[in-house]
Amino acid sequence: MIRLVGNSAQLLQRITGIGLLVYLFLHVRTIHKLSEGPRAFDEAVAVFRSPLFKLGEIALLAAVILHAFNGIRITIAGLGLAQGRQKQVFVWGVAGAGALLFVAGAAPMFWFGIVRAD
Amino acid sequence: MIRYQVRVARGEQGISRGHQTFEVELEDRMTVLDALFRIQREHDPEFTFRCACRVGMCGTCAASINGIPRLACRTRASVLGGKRITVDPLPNLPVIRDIAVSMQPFFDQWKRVTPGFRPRAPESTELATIPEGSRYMRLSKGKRDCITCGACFGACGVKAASAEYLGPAAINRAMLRLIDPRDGAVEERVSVLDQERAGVWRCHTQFNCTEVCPKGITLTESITWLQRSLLRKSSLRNKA
Repeated sequence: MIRLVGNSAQLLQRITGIGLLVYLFLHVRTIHKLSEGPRAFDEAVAVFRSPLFKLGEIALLAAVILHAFNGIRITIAGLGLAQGRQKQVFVWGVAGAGALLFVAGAAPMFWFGIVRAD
Repeated sequence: MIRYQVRVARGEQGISRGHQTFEVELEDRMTVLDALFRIQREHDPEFTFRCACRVGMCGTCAASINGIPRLACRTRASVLGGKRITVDPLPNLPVIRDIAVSMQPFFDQWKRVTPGFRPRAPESTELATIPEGSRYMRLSKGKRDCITCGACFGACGVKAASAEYLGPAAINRAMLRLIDPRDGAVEERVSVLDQERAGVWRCHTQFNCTEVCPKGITLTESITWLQRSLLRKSSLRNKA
């Protein structure tokens, strides 16, 4: 097993990509409930108010941030920029900056969505 | 003297016999290659690995050391951190015996890009000059030092999944020839590089090749440069 940052980056991109695809199907399925009337839609949305789904939303935020930031890194690399400093770009630009953004977004989601949820 | 536990892969002709651990004493500045020699001399004379120059010039001793392809002769045991060193054969290449691999798949791909110089004007007696600030000198800077060690080939995640893929070293070589104003085999190289499954489009920009290259060649840069150039092939054909 090769232990390199590039492998971790690609693995993360694949996992978060598949996760986002699953979320997309779930999202479309829920929106489709509108065609069955307001009651069916309200029932479908009610499921997402459980703490488990709130945690899922936090995981979704992490997946979106990682996928987007790593995607930007790959785009920048494709343009021929920062070629010799990719490890630093991944560690600081993707993982570091992504973690900061995640904490800023996940903390209120956790506090207001789970801890202080009515 | 520091005592290390060196765990080496054993096996031959693709049949793995697992790993075997040896206790080896090394001085502070000694390398992983020294450890392999100690194993061969003090423990098992049948233990097989390859090396030649021992100074990082030939690339023969490339192996996977603690999970990363590196030159055994340029890797000091003390910088690896810890007293346990694992040495495996270079990935993506068939094992001949223990750590020694066959470089045949590497050079098969290397040959596909027409690696040799093909002069545009073979009959010309005029001396070709390449000025210091020319496009060739600018683009080839730091990319001409490949020692064909195969570390990039072993580290490449795409290569692990695709036998057809050229691999970073061959692509870098093709790029060097394509930007050389004296070279004329543009179409042969472009036809190989532009292939969907084997060419530059297969690269996933993992940067593993750049990270492991013992000569510090930014191989992914060569690949992404070719990807952009192949979108506008006239830039490769027009070498002026």
